[in-house]
Amino acid sequence: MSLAREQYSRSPETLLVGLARNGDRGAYAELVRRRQAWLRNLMLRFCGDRTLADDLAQMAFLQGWQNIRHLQSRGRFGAWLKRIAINAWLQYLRKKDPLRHADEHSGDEGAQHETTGIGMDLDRALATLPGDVRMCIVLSYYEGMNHREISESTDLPLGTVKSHIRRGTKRLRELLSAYTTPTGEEAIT
Amino acid sequence: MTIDQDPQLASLFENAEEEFSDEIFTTRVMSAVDNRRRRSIIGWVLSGLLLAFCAWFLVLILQDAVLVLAQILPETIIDMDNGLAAQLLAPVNSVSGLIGLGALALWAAFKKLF
Repeated sequence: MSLAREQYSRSPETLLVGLARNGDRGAYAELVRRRQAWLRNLMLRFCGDRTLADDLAQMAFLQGWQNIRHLQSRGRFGAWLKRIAINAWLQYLRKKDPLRHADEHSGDEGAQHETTGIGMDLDRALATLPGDVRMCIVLSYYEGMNHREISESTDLPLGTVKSHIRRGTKRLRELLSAYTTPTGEEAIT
Repeated sequence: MTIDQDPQLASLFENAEEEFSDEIFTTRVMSAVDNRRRRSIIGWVLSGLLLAFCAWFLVLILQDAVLVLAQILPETIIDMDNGLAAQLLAPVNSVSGLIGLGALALWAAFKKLF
């Protein structure tokens, strides 16, 4: 590990964001290193395909690099990046409209990555949901965002977000009944 | 977990989080960043060259046009021998005067019509 990289790895994120805003490539690389697992997981939950998730995450990081000069608050890098990622996903959904509708009906072919167990079953279940519903569910359960935050991030009306989450939760509970118990106790081991 | 979440599903999401190796991905992203940067530099250089070429090309045309205009505009329309009449009518007895009068007439007509 080079000295510069060691210094970057010890630096707080706000400092790295400040450096990256001034065009410091190494600082941005460190930001990518720190945020990549989170963003790739988020994208994986959105799309259920590991390769596509990586491509979308890369696209989000690229857009981040191009626009980081416009980031107002250094402390909000994560939220800002999440917004970019959501837009990248929405853009993808709009471009791949036929696929989006295919998702609503198929389901089993959505989860294409090679992981097993909970992750695969969850992605398979998520793949049966329409793109917008899946996104709301992921932002709610994976990101812990409330309805208002989701509505603001996705530009969907609040009522739509609520109904998407209600509908998606019901569907996921049905599909993942093996992992859940009717009484509310977790069946995950 | 937010208040309106299903706790069992929330727990499923927590357990489904996957490990990703960071180095290959980071290298990939940064090389894409570098490629983009290189492409944008090349784009700027090419745009600059194109702009310089256009400017050079237009300057030649503009220069010629200015020279032609400088020759044509002061040309008198009717040759007059009488010195006083020639001096009085000089402002309108030229190509530039004619163009000016034409423009004024068009403007007046436009005002009258609309």
